[in-house]
Amino acid sequence: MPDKMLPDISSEEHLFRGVPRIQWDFQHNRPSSAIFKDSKGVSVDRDYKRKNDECIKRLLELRDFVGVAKIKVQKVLEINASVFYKPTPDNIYHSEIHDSPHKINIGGSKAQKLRDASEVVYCKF
Amino acid sequence: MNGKNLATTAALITGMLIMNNSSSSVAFHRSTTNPKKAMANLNIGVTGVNSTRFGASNRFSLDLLHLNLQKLESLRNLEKNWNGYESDPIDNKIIDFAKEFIAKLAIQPQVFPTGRGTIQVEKHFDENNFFELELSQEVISIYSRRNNQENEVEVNISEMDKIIEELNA
Repeated sequence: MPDKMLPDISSEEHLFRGVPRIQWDFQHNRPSSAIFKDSKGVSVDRDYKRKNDECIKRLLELRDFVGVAKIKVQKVLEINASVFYKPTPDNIYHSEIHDSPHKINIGGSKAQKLRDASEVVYCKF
Repeated sequence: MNGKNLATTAALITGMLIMNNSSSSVAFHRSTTNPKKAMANLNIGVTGVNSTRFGASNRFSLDLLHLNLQKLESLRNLEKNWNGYESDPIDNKIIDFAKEFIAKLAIQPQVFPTGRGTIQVEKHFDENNFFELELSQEVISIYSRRNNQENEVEVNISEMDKIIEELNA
């Protein structure tokens, strides 16, 4: 684990988010865009040079997620959403996706575009 | 009709009426009640039974409605942090509203809770034809695309019937 991470997240980094069963779209075998709707900002883990497996493992140790999705920071910025690095005492990788620098809640259109730009890197089924 | 009554009645009707998805025929069991009249009284998908909406008369499914109502009912049990990201529980009023809302739809969507305490109702026909609605206590946020025409708008929940009419059109 790095001692100190750069506060700026590189556009080449990926952001990881666990998906609970109740937000999994079984008809299309993907997460619902509902995972990108959170009034406190969409919590994600930045990779910070970690490999996929390490990022996934950390999330699955926390919770019995049925899926893990990742999205490249560059894609988030192309959708005109914003990414903030917000480490917590429990999670130095913690970051948040917001609608824009001045608005936290992500609208329907952006939420769906974020989902579409995401890649499922772990699926329980 | 409140959400609880609606759920109970829908469950009863599910027992009486089975829609055959492979054809537009309808099989009735254990009842001489005219299901169309029963549906009319409930104001649930009457047009869905005979309709050619979306080019198919057999898409209305009481089984799917029943499953959705069950899923929505289960949302009452979600506790704080249900998604692992400190989400709040879903308010009962929003659950009741969502139950009333989906019961009026001719085609059953999928329903999902969001981390901001709302309920998302979504149906994807294909990439260029879908709707995603976010139901809260005051507003319905709509994001839809029909024939590649994108639309994003927020309306007051008092406009529910108008929205339903449009979705069923």
